[in-house]
Amino acid sequence: MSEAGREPIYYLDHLVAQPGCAQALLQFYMSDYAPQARLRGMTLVHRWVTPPVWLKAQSNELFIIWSVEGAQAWWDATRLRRADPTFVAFWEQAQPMIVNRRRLFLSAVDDVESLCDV
Amino acid sequence: MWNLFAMYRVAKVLTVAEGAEPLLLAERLSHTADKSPLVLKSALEPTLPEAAAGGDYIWRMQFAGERDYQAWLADAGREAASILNDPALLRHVDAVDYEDGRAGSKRPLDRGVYRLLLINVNNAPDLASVARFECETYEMGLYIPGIVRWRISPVKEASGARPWTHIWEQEYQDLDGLLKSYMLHPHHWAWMNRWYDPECVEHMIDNHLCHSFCNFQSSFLEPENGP
Repeated sequence: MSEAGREPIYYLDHLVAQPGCAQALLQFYMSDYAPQARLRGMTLVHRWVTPPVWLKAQSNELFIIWSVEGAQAWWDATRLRRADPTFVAFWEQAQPMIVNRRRLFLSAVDDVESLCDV
Repeated sequence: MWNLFAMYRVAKVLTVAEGAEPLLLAERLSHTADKSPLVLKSALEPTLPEAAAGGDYIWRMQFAGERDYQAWLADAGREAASILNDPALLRHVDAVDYEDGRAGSKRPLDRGVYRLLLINVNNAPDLASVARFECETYEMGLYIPGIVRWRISPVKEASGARPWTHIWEQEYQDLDGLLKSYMLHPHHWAWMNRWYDPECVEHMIDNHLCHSFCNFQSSFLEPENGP
């Protein structure tokens, strides 16, 4: 269980890449999204792919996970992201390489009680 | 079901023009409500300093029905309109009128902090998404302890910076209820946020919002069910 107010909060970008595009999509994400996100206080935690082989004719799925420390830090990063149109522009440019995607916000199960006690 | 005995309501966020006298202006506007028996309730309160960019006053009125509101507009409301439309007195006005939407209450609250959010749902893929958004917004009151009374209503008429489609109102015991409990609860940032966040695929709400809050002395959020 984490210290109240400093619970790690995770962002999960789940991306289903167009067939054969996963490597290029990840490269674009790392070059055009990741540096901007880091500047807004987000820490890159994991970059996962399934299946762990770059498929040529089918879709790989990417799971890119970021974290911030506490809900206030989440708001700080969010306000900075929303004030900067380059974040939305990134997703528009990446769209041709994506079948579908979803962004989720998560925490450790053990932190739920503390996060909700506000 | 919750609209069976719905009131008709008006909410306006007023930004006073430079050089205008705010107290006199507020008094003149309040008078246009106070002198009419059609207005069941009226409250014109200064916004709190923490409501950055949230205007100078919030004016709320309550009518028995839309017909009474229209009758007020044609009578005492004319004077109010002349004030509201005078750029020498008011720099900006965001306004909505609406029939009661779905409301909830955990307990009576005689005084506290009232907060409104005017929303423009301008990119909804279908009506089902709008209905889901309204339902989940209502549920914020159930999950977030700081929200004491609340209501989400579709807007009938709107003016101002955007063609507002919804008003989301809450009452809190104190400012911590809004700035801490509401803002920091995961139902807000990890769940409802997706409708507002341009980076989420569920995003369907205009980024420009009208958010303001003030103290209140008498609740306008009396649900027909609940305490």
